[in-house]
Amino acid sequence: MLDTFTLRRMPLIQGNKTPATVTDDISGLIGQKPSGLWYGAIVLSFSMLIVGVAAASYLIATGIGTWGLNNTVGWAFDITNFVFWIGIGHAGTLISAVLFLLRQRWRTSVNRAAEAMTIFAVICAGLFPVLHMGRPWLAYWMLPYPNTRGSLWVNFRSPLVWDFFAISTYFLISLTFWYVGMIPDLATLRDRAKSKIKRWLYGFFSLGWDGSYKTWLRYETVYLLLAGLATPLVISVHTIVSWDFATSVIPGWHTTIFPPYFVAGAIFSGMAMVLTLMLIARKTMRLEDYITVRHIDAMSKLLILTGSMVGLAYATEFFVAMYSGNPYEEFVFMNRASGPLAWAYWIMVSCNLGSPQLLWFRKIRHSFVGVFIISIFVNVGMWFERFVIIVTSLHRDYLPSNWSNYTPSLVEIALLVGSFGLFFTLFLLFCRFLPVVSMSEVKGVLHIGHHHKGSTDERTSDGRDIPQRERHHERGKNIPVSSL
Amino acid sequence: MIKINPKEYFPSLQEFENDNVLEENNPIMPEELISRRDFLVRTGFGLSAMMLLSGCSRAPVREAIPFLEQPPEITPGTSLVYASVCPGCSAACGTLVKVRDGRPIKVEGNPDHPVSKGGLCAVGQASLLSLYDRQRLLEPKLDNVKSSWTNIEEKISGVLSKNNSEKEIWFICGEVPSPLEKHWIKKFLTKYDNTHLVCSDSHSTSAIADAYATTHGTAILPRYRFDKAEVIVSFDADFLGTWISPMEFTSGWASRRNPDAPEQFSHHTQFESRLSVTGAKADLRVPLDPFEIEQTIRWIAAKVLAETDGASLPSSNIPKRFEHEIAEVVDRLLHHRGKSLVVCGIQSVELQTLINAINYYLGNEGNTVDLSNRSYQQASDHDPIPQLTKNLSDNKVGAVFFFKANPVHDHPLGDKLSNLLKLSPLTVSFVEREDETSRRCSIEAAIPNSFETWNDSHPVETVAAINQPLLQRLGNTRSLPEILASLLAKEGDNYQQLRNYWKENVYPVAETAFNFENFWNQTVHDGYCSLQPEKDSGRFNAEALHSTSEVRHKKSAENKYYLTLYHKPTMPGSAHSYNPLLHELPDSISKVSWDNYACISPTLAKKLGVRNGSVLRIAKGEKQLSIPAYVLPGQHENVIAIALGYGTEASRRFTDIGPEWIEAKPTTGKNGFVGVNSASLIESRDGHLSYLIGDVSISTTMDTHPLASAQEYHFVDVPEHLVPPSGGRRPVVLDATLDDYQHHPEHLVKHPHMEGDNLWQDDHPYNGHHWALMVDLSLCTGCSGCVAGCHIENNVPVTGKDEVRRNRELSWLRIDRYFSKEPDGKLDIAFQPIMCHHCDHAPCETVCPVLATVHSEEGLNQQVYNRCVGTRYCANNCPYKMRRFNWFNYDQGTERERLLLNPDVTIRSRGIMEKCTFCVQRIEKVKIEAKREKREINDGEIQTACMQSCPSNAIVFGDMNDPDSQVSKMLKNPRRYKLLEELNVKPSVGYLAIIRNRRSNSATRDHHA
Repeated sequence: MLDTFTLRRMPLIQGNKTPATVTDDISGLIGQKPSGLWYGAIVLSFSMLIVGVAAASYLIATGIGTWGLNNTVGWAFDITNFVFWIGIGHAGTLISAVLFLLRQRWRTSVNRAAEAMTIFAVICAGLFPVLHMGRPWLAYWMLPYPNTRGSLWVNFRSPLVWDFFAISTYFLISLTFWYVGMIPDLATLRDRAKSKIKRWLYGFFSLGWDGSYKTWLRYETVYLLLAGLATPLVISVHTIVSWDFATSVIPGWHTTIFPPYFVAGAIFSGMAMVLTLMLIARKTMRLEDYITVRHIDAMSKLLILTGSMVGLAYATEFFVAMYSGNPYEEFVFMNRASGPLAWAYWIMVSCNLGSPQLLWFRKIRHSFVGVFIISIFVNVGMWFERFVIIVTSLHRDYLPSNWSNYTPSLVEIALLVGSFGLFFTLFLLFCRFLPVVSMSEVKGVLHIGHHHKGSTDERTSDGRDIPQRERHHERGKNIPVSSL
Repeated sequence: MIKINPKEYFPSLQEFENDNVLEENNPIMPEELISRRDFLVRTGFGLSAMMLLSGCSRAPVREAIPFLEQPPEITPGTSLVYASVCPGCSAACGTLVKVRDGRPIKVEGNPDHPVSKGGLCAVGQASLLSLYDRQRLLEPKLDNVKSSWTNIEEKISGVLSKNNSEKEIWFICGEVPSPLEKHWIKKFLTKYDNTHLVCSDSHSTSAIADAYATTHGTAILPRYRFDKAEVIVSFDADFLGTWISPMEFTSGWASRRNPDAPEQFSHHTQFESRLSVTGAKADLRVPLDPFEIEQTIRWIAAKVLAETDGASLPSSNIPKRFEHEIAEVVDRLLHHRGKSLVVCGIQSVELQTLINAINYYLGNEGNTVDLSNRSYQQASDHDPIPQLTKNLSDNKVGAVFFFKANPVHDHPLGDKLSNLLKLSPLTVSFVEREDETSRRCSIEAAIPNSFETWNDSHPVETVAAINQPLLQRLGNTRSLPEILASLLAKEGDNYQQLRNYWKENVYPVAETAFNFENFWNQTVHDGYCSLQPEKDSGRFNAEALHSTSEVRHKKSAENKYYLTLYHKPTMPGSAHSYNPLLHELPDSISKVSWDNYACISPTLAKKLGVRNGSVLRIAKGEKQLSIPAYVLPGQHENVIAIALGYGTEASRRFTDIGPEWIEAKPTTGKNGFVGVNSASLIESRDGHLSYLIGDVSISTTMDTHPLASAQEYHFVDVPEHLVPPSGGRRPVVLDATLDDYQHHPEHLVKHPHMEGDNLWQDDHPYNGHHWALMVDLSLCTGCSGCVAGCHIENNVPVTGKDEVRRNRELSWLRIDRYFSKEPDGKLDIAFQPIMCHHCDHAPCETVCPVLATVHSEEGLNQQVYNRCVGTRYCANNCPYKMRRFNWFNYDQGTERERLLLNPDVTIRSRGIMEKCTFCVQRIEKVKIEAKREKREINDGEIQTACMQSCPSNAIVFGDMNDPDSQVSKMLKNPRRYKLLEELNVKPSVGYLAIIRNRRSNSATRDHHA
């Protein structure tokens, strides 16, 4: 009977894991020497980060003129990167908060990494609005703080100010959510830590976690509440980001479809990035047992769904523009599809609309390589979506005399590369120093005791006795999870 | 506790004496007197003061020295205005120079000047750069080494005294508008025998003078009166751009282009081989090659003379495709006898003779062609260089003087001359800055800039003007009359020389009732005086027409082309090529800055398979030139046009102009210069320099030389493959025919109905002033004077070619130039100046996160530089894209060059947005004056820099709350429209549609309706 069940529904976690082996596997990753792949990856991404830092320093020292922008195209790579990274973040929140509320148990293997991805993506995103300023050292002027410049305040009518609030809120909530979710695992790490510093650090951040029934109860309540708080942010943040464009007068920007379109796009791109990251982490961190076909399959399906929503948005946008009778609006879309930047438009359409359709095939969905390639395509496509929206709308707007073209400079490309460097460096460090998979949550989805009695063996693989506190925590854990 | 000994302030002297504190007070304050709060305040102040002082320690020590005796008229911080003469070209327009704290900072047109009438072109506006220019020669040089004037004079008189009239003395002048200078040159030369004085301008119009010598017996250049001409027919004469006196002609032409007075509206036909600004403004523009133009002149002359009982002339064929139009031109001329004007810019005595005949038989002489009030502008003698080179190689020349002439660069025989000059024992060049010729002369005599000397001008017979010095000379320079006087052992400084000359030569013919002293003072104050007209100017002699039979322009052979060499309105010659602003200004027609190029028609480009920037090799005989191509609609397909005045040594300095960064590209080309010198292709024939050359061949090369264009797309129609269902024509420039406009003015502009569609309540009423600016597009000739004026008034930096190429020029005012293919297949050209529109519902204002751009209660959209953080969101959201971002910290030049900066306008640092302010500093100045005088501001009293410079008065600024202001009247004109009005941003800038004097064109009307 069990066999038929597994045939129908593959297990979420493979390898006959017991809570103890889960603990061993995941926290073992933190102590042990990482794989050569990991070293290769961190060298590469850190080099990319250095390139970005050099470009940013040069940019701040010299001026925005080191970008390829001009009088007509005032934003290009900067805001494209910003919206791209913010969008990436959304899948993390979706997985951790929305899927949590929807009781999607497959999320447990990926939610920690997805949340980390959110935080790192928001960090990357947050850099660009600062770097894109002509005088980034005055970025704090965006804050409505009491000042001595008369009654000088920020302009609450400006979507950039809304952006500032939306993103800082998002960052804070995501960070809190991520951190709170990690407390039980930090406690585990604390208990297993061998060096004093590590014990102190993990101990400090686990906030005196004792694994008691009461602690678990409060923890679960807080987690639930935070999930509830984070859920509206999935909608609101990208809606507000889209207002940067929707409230302007530029044809191609000034459109009411943007909020849902951006949110769907954000989840779409985020899902793709989660897939990319998880497939990389799976290989480099040897998480084959924890990230299984089931996870990839579920996320692929979400990719099809959100990809199709994005496709619908493209079609609607095009149709409404042509139906509007507004020659400027119509022209923007003619120009997108067959103007000088048409190549970017068609990259966007083929990557975002075309490539996810392959995931209808089970074979492709269950092929890690296939899904990885598609996820890369979607990442590329979604970056181009923002590029198309920003640049093709600006470069040919109302007055034909203003028409201009845009070519990125080396500095802009270096900053894009650098942002990926920062993101992957942070992510790889995260993989190395924090539990990549939520141990406490994964234990809740194990099929304990079906195959062997490993779960009762209270010894770690190296034969060391599990400290009393951890044992207590391991035991105490089962109660609230099952009570959910 | 820190002991602090604060200063004691005494409420009164009484108290001071009573208390006798100095003796009684303990020098150390009791501790309880300093509260914690005070301590913090003082420490904080002390610390910040220290930081401030240490932060400033690198600033150079500057000394401000007050006047020992303050001149009564000078108040520090206020500007004085002096009348003077524009040094830009020989048209010698009247100027008003604004002097602030002893330094000239702005040149404007003198509205009272009877010739130029207040307009000042870009060259005039930018001429002030010459004063502070880093390349000025401030000391004389002998054999390329700095020397003293005593040595220079000894050398000159030494060589000349040994000459003993065996060898010739040549004095080659360029444009010399000054009678004083000419007087002294002549006086100097009379001392010697065997002298040759020749004035030869690189813009030579010598053929006109020669033609008058043939037909009237006197070699004169008449004064053309475009203000009196109801019908204008021009053959390749770019009279609105560069020909003779463009400001005067533009103002005259514009006075008859008001469609609201249709009975006065002129009809302007332009036959031309290249596309000039004049052609762009013509009602009928006929693109012909030089052969066809000659045919047309001959045909029209024959027709007109036949109809007016003149001599019978051999007729000729005319191009079939324009037969109808040309016949109509003749009809129109015959119907407007005495009120028409035919002009020709071709350097051909035969053709100019025919033009004289046409004007004579039409009765235009004495009306539109004023012979009694002759012009001295662009006056040229025969081309002297062929003779000079010949005599030099025959070793017949004892001395050569050059003044305002640079034939080594500007003349086709320049190379030859350059090698031969050393054969003359004495070569002297009187120059302000070194040029190709002066570098090859043994003596470079440093002359002062025109803003530093007394001088005069005599643009037309009845007007003479005085050029005032406006500051102390910046170097050890001497003016030409001073040097020559000193050589003649005569005393007198510049001022005395001018006064004496005027007393003897000008005052006797002046129309004045004053004695000389008063006359002089009045003239210096006004800048000009009126003189009596010439009595006799000769009679037309029909015999002269016999000499016109020689056909000058031959039909071009297969695969051979005509070449026309022209001057850009913004770069009138090599003498201006030192000027970064003039290089930066986009050409009126091509919109390309920082280069010259070969304009070719799209047809020819297709045939050759070249694009903008492909380098072409243009050859005439053995002379050839490699120059990038520029594809220009409207250009005749058999004609290539190349601008003169480029590729000078002076332009070498621009190699590193503009911001430095990793991807920056140099402004100069592979040859190290800006542009290419095309002078070698000029033909010197029969003593005339001819700018129309036949039988030129073109070959393509693999090279490219990217051109920097300020406008990348040139049409009002979107590209054909992108035309959307609602139509591809953008209603940016509205136009109509005079016929349509007269009968259905209401059809011209469709205003969207937007009343009540207001997102905001009317909580910001404009109760006081509400500034507005209107531009009459019918009058705008695209001359770019306003753009240059704006640059200088508002301290807008020059960015260099690479930045223009990247579409990052900083100009606060740009002139868009559009081509539109009309239903009849002809090409229409429109100019549209665009500045910040100061929208009442400004899209830029709502999006700024830090409120760096806000609205004033007088309707100005204000940019607060020190609040701006540079998000560029405002620029993105500007539908007109007239916000300018400081991509870098821009170089404002050397310390001396920075003296030009207007102290009333902030210098912007990098990372902030800037834009047109409607010259808010000028508005405030007038407001303060009016308030002090307790009066209202008069309409027209506030003139923005662009409005002031406009020769055709196309730009009008004023208060739209004042119902009687000119702006308010223009806002009620049926031609008025606002750009992108349908966006409901409520711009304060409006336009008046272009009206062309054509018959009804229902297709056009349908389109706009």
